[in-house]
Amino acid sequence: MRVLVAIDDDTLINPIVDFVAAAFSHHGTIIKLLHVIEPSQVTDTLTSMSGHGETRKILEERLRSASTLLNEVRNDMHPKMIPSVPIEISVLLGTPHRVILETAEESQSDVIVLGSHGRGDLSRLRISSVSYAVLSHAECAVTIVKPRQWVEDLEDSSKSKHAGAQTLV
Amino acid sequence: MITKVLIPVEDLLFDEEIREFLVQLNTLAIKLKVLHVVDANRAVYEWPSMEYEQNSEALVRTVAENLRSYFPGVEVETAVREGIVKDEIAREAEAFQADLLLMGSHGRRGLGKFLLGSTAKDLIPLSPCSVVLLRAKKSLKHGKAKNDFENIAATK
Repeated sequence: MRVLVAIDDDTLINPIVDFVAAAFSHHGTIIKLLHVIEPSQVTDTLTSMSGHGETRKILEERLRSASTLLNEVRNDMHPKMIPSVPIEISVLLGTPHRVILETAEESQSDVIVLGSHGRGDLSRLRISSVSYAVLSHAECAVTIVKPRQWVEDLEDSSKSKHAGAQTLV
Repeated sequence: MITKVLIPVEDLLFDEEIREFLVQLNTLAIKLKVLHVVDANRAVYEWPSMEYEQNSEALVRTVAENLRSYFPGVEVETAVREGIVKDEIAREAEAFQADLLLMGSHGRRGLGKFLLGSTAKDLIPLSPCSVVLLRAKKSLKHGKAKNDFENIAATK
């Protein structure tokens, strides 16, 4: 089973790690963690700063923080999986849904794993455009990971997003 | 841990994919529930209600029996509900305390129309748990679902 896990930010890392560990901890599983840097993020930052030649610097910084993030996820994931499961890390530049779909195709992924939403409470009410595009065009199965939101959890709104299973709507 | 998996079905199109995914899980510890939601808006003009209900029962029973034969000892419940499909699935997921919704990315309605079934897309924000949307194998993508549904109706 080849599993492609697209990590956007640190919002849903715990539920994603838990899901992947629960569902795919088997011999033969190959995990690839992917983060996509959007070129627009880099140029947007650039316009607010003066001068050229900054692109490279910003890009390097993005790359660094993305690999730090993915390394953290890998470190979280490793102890929860059987030791023989390799976890690759990949940071790519491009339009997120395109890069995710292309990577899935190139690495012949059997399943793509995505978080259900990014930051911000409103984003929970609808499916993100990246998820929608990936769901619409993926050739393989797609998992949208959500923190569990059963009724009893709804009463406690103060739990942090990192509480994973306890997060509410 | 994934211990409870709700499987909403519209036809038998994803039978094999569902099985292949479940093999990945620790099936000794899991409980399954097969759900079909009769779309309240459509049943009225598409099928005489009684017949549709019987087909729905036959559908969930068939899916459940197939699962039981592949995963002996695993508890498989069935349910047929009526209403707005996405709402009923979300409600059932909550009542069952599902850890996972496992379903095809589209049902018969979606075939040839949309790549992603509107129920699947609308369901995700409502779902209280993670959702796995399975993709039909290419060879099955065309023209199988209808036959399956007719077969069920014929064997009831």
